[in-house]
Amino acid sequence: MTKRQKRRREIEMSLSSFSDIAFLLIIFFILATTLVQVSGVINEIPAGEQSQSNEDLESPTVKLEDDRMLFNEKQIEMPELRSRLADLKLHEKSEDEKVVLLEASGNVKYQSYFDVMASISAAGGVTAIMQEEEE
Amino acid sequence: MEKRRRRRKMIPVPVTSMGDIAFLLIIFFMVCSRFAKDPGVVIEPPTTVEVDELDDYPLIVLIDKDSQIYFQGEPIASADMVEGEVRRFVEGKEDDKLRTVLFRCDRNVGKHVFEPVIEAIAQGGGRIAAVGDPSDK
Repeated sequence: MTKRQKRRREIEMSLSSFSDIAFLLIIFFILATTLVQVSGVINEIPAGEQSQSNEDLESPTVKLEDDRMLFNEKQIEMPELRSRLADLKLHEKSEDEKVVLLEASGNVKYQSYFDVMASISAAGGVTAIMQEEEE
Repeated sequence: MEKRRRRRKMIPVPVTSMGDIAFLLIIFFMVCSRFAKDPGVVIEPPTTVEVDELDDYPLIVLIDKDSQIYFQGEPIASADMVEGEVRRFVEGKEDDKLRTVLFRCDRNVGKHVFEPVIEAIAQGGGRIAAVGDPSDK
């Protein structure tokens, strides 16, 4: 008896559409991706006791009011604040001496608050938020 | 004169490797992409002279132009809730990067909204990375 040998036919898979699908996915990812580099400032705000009184502290103070800014009770503009903070050489000081108090009153917008926080951070200081005294 | 006609042989272009290259590109895009945690939140960021490039931090707190507060993309009712949420996330973490909170706030939001949130993040043990754009003045 002769053994009948079946010759198997090789089935070739068509891969041409495979690359089409892959490229469609690539196009989707390219269109859906937005390359955003976030910029800003990092602040390590001390989580202190809220009852701490103003009198105990000898740190420099920045006070923001509706339309003006005070540095150690003297009215100044933002470029001057930057130079005054740079003069303090906060980089070289100890952790406790790096603290700059920030107090906002009235309806201060985040723009000016952020500007001050960024200036303190750039000068090597640490921002500490001071609560507005309640009358 | 008899014109000699050349019979052109069709050369098949192998496309098998095309799929491989394409999938490598897909994997690259999938690995490099990160999905936004703030879809649809409209924020006009503040500007300042000196800003640094910030990394990708795991926590994000947002305040939009309508003073709505969001934690990890989900709206929350008040600033008090931020403290608890931040504390829950940063507890036991000593690595600065893991306890840094990306804080995005609209430039026109008033003090009575953003200051309690900043304080809540600080009280919760978070380190604040305040997002802002560079300006030239």
